[in-house]
Amino acid sequence: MKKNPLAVALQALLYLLAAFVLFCLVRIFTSPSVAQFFREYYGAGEAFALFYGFLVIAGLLALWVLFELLLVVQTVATDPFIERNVKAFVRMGVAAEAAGALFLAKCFVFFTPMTAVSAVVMLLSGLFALVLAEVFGKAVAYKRENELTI
Amino acid sequence: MIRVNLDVMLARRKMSSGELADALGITQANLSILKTNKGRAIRFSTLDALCRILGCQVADILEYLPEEERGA
Repeated sequence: MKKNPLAVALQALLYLLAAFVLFCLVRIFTSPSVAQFFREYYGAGEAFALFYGFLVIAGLLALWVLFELLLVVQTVATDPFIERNVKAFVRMGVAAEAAGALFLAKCFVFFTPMTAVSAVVMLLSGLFALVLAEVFGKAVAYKRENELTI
Repeated sequence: MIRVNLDVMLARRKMSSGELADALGITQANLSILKTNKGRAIRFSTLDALCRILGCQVADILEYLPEEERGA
């Protein structure tokens, strides 16, 4: 099966992004300078712990979105219109909406302009993924119909 | 419902499913879908080829069964 160069490039980019997210997740716990930086910004008390919790959950949600995207991209060379991809888009949408809600919640606790932008981006991408799930669902139904047309 | 009577026509013409699939240019799996009434639709081109190869009319291949005769 001939591989689509765009899909291969996207797959490589997604692996790189996943590696970067993992690296950041490890770094925030292992690097004293990163901890020091955030401590200066948020103080040493409860807010600092809350922010660390937020970072870990956001990182894990980002990894989940990337994993689901990888699942979809891997099928581009063969047949992307399968039920598994519909479910992957739904899960991706749920993860993105959850991340968006998390960023939105952070806006009320520690507001930064980037948090607000991230919240809007994540909420919109979640919606986009859910709409794509619907589109893929229809495509799967059409494909099944076509396969049974002799 | 519409019943596909391909088995009957194949028996009359003493032709195997494999021969028909080859002549039609479709896979045996697809012919089996058609024969077992699992197909959702049939193309005019397929119907045309079936009538030509089997030397018959559409009515010899497709039969309409009213609701009450379904279970029979």
